[in-house]
Amino acid sequence: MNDTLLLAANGLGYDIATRTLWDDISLSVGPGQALAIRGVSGQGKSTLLRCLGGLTRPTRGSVRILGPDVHGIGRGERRLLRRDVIGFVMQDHAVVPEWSVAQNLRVVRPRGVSRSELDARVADALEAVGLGGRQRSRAGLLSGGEQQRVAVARVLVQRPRVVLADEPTASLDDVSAVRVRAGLDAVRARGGAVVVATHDPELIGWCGEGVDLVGGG
Amino acid sequence: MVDHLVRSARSARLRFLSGRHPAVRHRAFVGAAVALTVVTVGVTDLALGSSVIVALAASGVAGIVAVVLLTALLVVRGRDERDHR
Repeated sequence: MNDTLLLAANGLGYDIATRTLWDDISLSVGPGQALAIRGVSGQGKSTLLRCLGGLTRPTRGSVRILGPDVHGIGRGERRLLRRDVIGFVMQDHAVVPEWSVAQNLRVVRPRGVSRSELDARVADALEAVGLGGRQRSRAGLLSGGEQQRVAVARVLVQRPRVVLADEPTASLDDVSAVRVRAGLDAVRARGGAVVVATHDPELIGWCGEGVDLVGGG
Repeated sequence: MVDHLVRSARSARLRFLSGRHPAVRHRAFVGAAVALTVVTVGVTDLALGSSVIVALAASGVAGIVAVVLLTALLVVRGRDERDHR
């Protein structure tokens, strides 16, 4: 694997029973790069993203993140990858509504980060996505757009090398979408790589590069 | 009950995505359970007429067994590979 690449997938394919969802997908991203995975609904964008993050095992191919194949290592190593290297922004926000906003962000606890530094990161991240001072708000009382911004703020707190975002601007108003892109911009500015599954033209334009998913029939 | 399970599932999923070890979440529970086991075994041993040294040894062994059993149970029940197929 090229030393400058953070994530490299090679020859990925995914079958559901006798149907091939997608096949022979190869992609790579380096520091500061963003890549859009484009495709119509039902094409398997989310499944590909889950395969890239080590959450779902592809039928064929390999995914290397900072060297090792994420599907060839043990579950303990995969957990450490999720803790220290990969950040997820899920389409459903993955926010716990009963927790406060700060609790939803503090759940990520990267190695070597003290509680005081974590609190400072939480305040900075919320400021970056336009939710400054909302630490104590109950997450379940926020709008959908605000919850998605909380999800983006979480990866800003985590500071992973690779962010995998599944439709991060779907069903958001323009203002929220701009805030979410600003958050992802901050990830890139720190040298992280961003992979988004989306059909949002604005977000595709923001990424610059893209991969089209074409059904395998 | 259903509400509790839904809430637990949501937070478990978030911890899974964040790479938190399932046992870490229950540190306080494990600590309290082990302390209770140690004290109970020690006091019971003394009440039954054992010497202090025997009571201390028995409660120490009981504490270690409790740690091992509870941690194993938490890891098996909270397998953080539930999503990996």
